[in-house]
Amino acid sequence: MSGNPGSSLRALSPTPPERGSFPLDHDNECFQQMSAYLECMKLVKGQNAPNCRLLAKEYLQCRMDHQLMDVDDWSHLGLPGDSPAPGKR
Amino acid sequence: MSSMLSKTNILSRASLRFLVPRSVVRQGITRSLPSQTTYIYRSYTQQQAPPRMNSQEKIPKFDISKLSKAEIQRLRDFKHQEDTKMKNRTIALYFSSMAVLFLGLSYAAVPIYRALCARTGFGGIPITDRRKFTDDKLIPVDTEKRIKISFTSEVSQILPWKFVPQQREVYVLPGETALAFYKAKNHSDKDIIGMATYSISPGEAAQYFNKIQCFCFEEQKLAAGEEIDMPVFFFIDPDFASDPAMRNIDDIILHYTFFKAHYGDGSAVSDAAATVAPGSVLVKNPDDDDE
Repeated sequence: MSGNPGSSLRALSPTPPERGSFPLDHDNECFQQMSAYLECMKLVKGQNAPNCRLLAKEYLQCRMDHQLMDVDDWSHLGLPGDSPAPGKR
Repeated sequence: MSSMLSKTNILSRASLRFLVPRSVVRQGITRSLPSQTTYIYRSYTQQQAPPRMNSQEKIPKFDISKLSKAEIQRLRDFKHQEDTKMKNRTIALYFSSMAVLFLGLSYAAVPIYRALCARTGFGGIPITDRRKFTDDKLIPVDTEKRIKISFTSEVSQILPWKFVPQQREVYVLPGETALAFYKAKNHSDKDIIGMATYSISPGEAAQYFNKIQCFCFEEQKLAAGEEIDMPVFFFIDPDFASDPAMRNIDDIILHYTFFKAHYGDGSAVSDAAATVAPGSVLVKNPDDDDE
């Protein structure tokens, strides 16, 4: 695993985001999914519940559909994968 | 007459060893042909002429008992000179080789430094370490304690934007990905390009805060009066749970700051017609001293 856990020198060197920057959603195409997710988070008081994570998955799916994000497997994004019945995207 | 001086006679002179360099003695002893002795004799005459010469070719000047004090002194001086010359040559060679070595090192330093910095991230060069984002890092750790991530924001004073987080805090487990939103509104009448940077408090937790995708370090252009939502998709590295230095940290603050982007020639970006040339934008930060 990590060969040098908690070395203070590691804290000094920042890691850039893996996929860089999100393209801006100027046309608010994913606004609905975003508001649904934010409502859910308000309800659970920020506990990052599994149903809210599914809504986050919806939002990211919307982004992928509108070319606002690179398409990728859900396992790479740490989100539960699609159920096999409707077919894997 | 050379046959008169036998080898043993020469070797028995212990004091000879101190006066005469070993190489010269060896030549004189192993080759007892007349021509060689003549050669050796000549090597002495280069430095000084021995005063007493019974016969030029035949007698080598090794007979200590027959040499006068001046001759012994001369032999000694000769040896000293040879030694000094040898020593000087050695020292000169050492110094010149050191000079060449350091010159070579200074040329090699550029690629070595680059490789070292890319590997260790020393000096702030970010490590693009793909191992931080492998799939096994995205499995939530099974603990009771969730880490509270608070979101704060700040805007540069010359940037006429309103920039706020959409949620106060999120409670996550290490290894669990989370999505957070910020909202930015440009309430001026011009299109403005801004750039965001972020910071993590406490600083020790920053090494475990991995962002999959965010909106920082790239220009974000907002049209006049436009309001936009900016997501941050991140997770805390699962090693956070097993690091003893992190056991007291259960509150992390993610702080975003938006700055106004300027062009290199000092003109502020103010109209939509201005096209952005890559690499020519300077981020101006006149008033934020404590960031």
